[in-house]
Parts: sequence; C-alpha cells; structure tokens
Amino acid sequence: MNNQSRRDFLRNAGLGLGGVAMSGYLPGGGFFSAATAAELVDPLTPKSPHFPAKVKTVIWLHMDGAPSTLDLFDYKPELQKLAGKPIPESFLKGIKTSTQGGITKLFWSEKRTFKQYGDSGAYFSDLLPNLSAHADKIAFIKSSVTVGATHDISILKLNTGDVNPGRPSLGAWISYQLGSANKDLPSYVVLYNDKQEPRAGSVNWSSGFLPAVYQGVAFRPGDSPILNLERPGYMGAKEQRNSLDLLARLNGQRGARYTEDTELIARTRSYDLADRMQTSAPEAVDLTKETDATREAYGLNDEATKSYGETLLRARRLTERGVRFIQVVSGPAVADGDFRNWDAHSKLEDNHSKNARMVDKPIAALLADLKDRGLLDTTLVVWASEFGRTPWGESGDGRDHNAWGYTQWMAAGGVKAGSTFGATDEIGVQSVGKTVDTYDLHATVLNLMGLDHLKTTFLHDGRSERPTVVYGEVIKDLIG
Amino acid sequence: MNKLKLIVYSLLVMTATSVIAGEISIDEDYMQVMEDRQKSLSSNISLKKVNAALNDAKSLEESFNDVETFYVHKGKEDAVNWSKESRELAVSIQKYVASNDFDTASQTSVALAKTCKTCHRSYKKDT
Repeated sequence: MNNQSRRDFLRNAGLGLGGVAMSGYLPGGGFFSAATAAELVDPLTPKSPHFPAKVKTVIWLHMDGAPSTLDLFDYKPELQKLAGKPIPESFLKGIKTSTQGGITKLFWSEKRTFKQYGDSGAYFSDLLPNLSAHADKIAFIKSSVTVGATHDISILKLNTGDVNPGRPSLGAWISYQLGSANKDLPSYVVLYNDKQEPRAGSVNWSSGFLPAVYQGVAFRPGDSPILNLERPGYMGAKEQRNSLDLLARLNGQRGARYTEDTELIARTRSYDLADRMQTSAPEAVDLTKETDATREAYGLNDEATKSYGETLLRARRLTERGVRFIQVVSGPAVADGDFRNWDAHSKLEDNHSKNARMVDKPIAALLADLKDRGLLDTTLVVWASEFGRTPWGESGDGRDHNAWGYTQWMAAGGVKAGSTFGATDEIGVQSVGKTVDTYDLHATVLNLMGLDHLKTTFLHDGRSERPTVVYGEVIKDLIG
Repeated sequence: MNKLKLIVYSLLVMTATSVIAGEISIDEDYMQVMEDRQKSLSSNISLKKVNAALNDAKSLEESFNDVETFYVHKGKEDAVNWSKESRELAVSIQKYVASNDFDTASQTSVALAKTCKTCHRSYKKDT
C-alpha cells in the first residue's frame, strides 16, 4: 500500500487505530474523522486565547432537575402575600404557559424564610445556611431565560446552546479553542454523583461536529474513574511501556520517510495519552491524601453530603491539575426514592430540603477551599440549571417548570462579586428588563476564559459555526 | 364629485392592501427559511464573504418587510415594531458588510437574532 492510499484508508476509517484507541477512553466512542490532519498533530496543544483570560478553569455546576430558585435566592414577599390565591392575569402577559400542571394557585411553603447576607445584602433562604456565608463572592443572574419546558431539551440547550443534538457542548468549544493545560489528563472532564451517567446522557458533553478529541471525558464516582482504563491483567506496566516504545519506534521509522504524515504522529500520541492517563487519572481523583479537615469541610463524613462532596473535592483536584472545564451534574439526594433530582412537581419542601442539604455544604466548602489555595481568582464557578420553577403550585405542594425567569449565578474568578444582574417580576413568573439566555451565559463564560464567542469558530459543512449559534451577548455587568 | 373620488380611491387602497396582505403567508416554512438565511448570514460574515453576506442580509430585509406587512394586517403592533426593527438591522448589516466592518456586522447580526427571539416568545407556536 503506498503512502497516499494508506492515508486515505486511515482517514476513511476514522484515522485508524489511534482513533479507535482514543475512542475507547472517550464516552460515546467516536472517531477523529472530522478533524483535519494539521489539527491532529496534537489537537490538544495549548493555544492562546483571543485576549488575556481572567480565569483558567470553569467548574460548571449543573443542578439537575431544575431547583426552585424562588425557594433559594429570589425572595418574593408579594408571592408570600398572595399565596393560595389565583395568579393575576397581568403576570402571564407575553408568555405561553403549556406546562403539564396547568396554572393553579400561587404557592408558598410555610417553612420558607429568607435573610440577607454579606455586604451585598444578597438574599438566601433557610435551605442554604452554608452557601450564604459566601454571598460576597457571588454574581447573581436573576433574569435567566431559556426555551423548552422538558428537561432533556433544556439540559441540552444549557450545555450546547441548541435544543437539537449535534452541536458541541461549551466545554468542548473551550477545549477546542484553548487545548489542554495538562498533557496527562483530558482538558474537559464530567463528574457526577450517581451510580449511572446523568440522564440525557453524553450528548450533553459531546464534541458535536468538532473532532471527538474535544468531547468531555466522564469520570465515574469511585476509585476507577474511567471505564476500561486499567491495563489488562496479563500485562505489566513495564511490558506495556516496552510495547508502546516498540510501536513508537516502528511508527517513527516509517514516519521518518513520510514527515508530512501527521495522522501517524497523532496516532502514536493517542497511545501515549492513554498510557499516561492510566496513572494520572486515578491519582487526580484519589481523595485519600486529603486532610481530615478538608474531608469534613466537604461533608464527606455525612451520608447526606458525602457523594456530592466527593465530586466537588475531585473537581478541586482537577482544577489544581489544569483541567480547563469541569462539568459537575448533581445526582440523587438519596440513593433510592422520589428525590432523584430537584424536579419537585410535588412535595417541594421535602425534595428541596434534601437536595439543598446535599449541595449546600460542599459548594460552600469548594468556594472556601479555592480561596485558601489561591485558586479563587483563576477559577470560575457557575451554578446553573435547565430552567427554574413556577410560583404557582402543582399537586398542591410542588412547582412546575419555568423557562421565563429564574436565577443562576457565577462566583470566584473574574466576576463582579456581590452583585446581582436582572430581576423577575414581583411574584417570579418571568424576567423583567434585560434577560440572560443560555447563549449569553456561554458568551460570558467564554469571555472570562479569554475567548470572543464571535471568533470561536469551526468550519462545518462549509459553514462557520460558533458556540452561540447566531446569538450571544457578553453580560459585561457580570464581569469584575 | 370629490366625495365620490374619495370613496373610489379608498376602495382601491383597501382592495390593494388586502391583496398584498392576502398574498403574504407567514407560516412555519417561511420562518424556517428566514432562520436558515440568518445562520447563513452569520457564517458569511464570519468568513468575510462580502457578496454572500450582502445577499443574505438583503433577502432578510425583504422577508422582514413581508413579516411587517403581515402583522400590520393582523393589527399586532408589537410584532410590527419587532419586524421593523429587524428590517432596519438587516439594512445596517448590509452597510457594515459593504464597508468591510465585519465585527460590527457580526454584533448587529446578534442583535437581529435577539429581536427575532423576542418576537418568537410571543408569536411562535410551540412545537
């Protein structure tokens, strides 16, 4: 086979064994077939941002199931006053309410209380006693909007900017545009505290039409973060190293005759990355060396907070090791039962008290820990959800989905700490004034990473694509 | 005599208006074509393809003119205003592209997309 036909074969076969080898380490499989040869020399080589970045790492906390931010951050005395009454028509103007529960009477939990915290005077409810201590680190976005009223669709939009599968997730765009800051670890890692992968699946950390190398790598909870990463039992570390060295020598000899054959170089490097990850990935998530004080702070000694606490402690360790984008999906607050996530169509008080308890202490610990380790200024923590929940009740004591107005927040690096952007109406049905859609949130996160969302582009099917599709506005008021 | 002329003239205007409005059907397919055109415009600005971007922006200007007429006929003032604003943004984009100011053209294209989204919030049917 001559070199030209071999190259064609490799390209047509998804760039051959290297692609296959890497796809084994990347959830959802996938090949490098969309990548050009030049990119494959080392697609994760660190690249310069468009302008100086304010942060190096993003920790993207997805609250799965959509919390009621009316019960966490967005205090509405008028809702409390009108509880039990029908919603005044004027609040529904301009929105189409097709949520499953219909529009019922306004709901307020009798147990709910709010207080102001910090110099900023930000409101936090009784459900967040630990996070409230960090009020002055947070920039609230209280006019979040999205489209879709079902979880899977809106989760996809939250992560990829579109309601249809096929586009790259935000982490993949960052990985593509900036490369990796640690050659031994993926630049984009997904963490979750559940026995199974988050619902809606790997499409939410997909590289879409970008080369597969940029997709998120899901680290499972437990001591073995990546499936099939361990060496086969019959092969020792030295034996594997010798085998790879031999392979590299043979490829090197062949490659010396065809120096333009970048696929070959990429293939060899993919083997080496997998070899390095066998050592570095387990070490990166090994919590045994953490101090007792740290373990206690993250809630590892309490069953209610242990699983999420471990996940956030891993997120901090990955931050220290230069991972660019860490996507953390919240899992079930209790292993079995009705509260698999924040989706409280009924029994909101019971659901949210358990889910809030699961995340409150670990997130507060993460913010404190990042500060103590000097990482707060270079790490962006984003607290996001697929949508919010309605002020009217469902099933008597729950809340329905609300895509028209809810709260998300950003903290730590680069943000205008202790600030609030936007607002919802007096009872929290919909945003008033300037809204922040997922595209705007993505554009702002990219900006903090030193990237212009309008210039973060990839040519796909002859069209210049970007993370924010045709939308996106950097919310400058959120940037410090 | 003048009164008769006025009546005839009014009838002619009314008939002509209803024909124009009647000819324009703004349905999902029409909007899908506009959405595709908008994506094409965004790409062509990014790739600095002047003629292609100008064609896209001109086409959008004409489409928004139709949308504006459609909503005038329906008496939806807010939709008329959004359509008008979108049409004017499409005109601005043509000016920026023609002067090779692709950054401003790109930002204006985002503003155009946002105006569309605002209108869709009230008028797009759920799918």
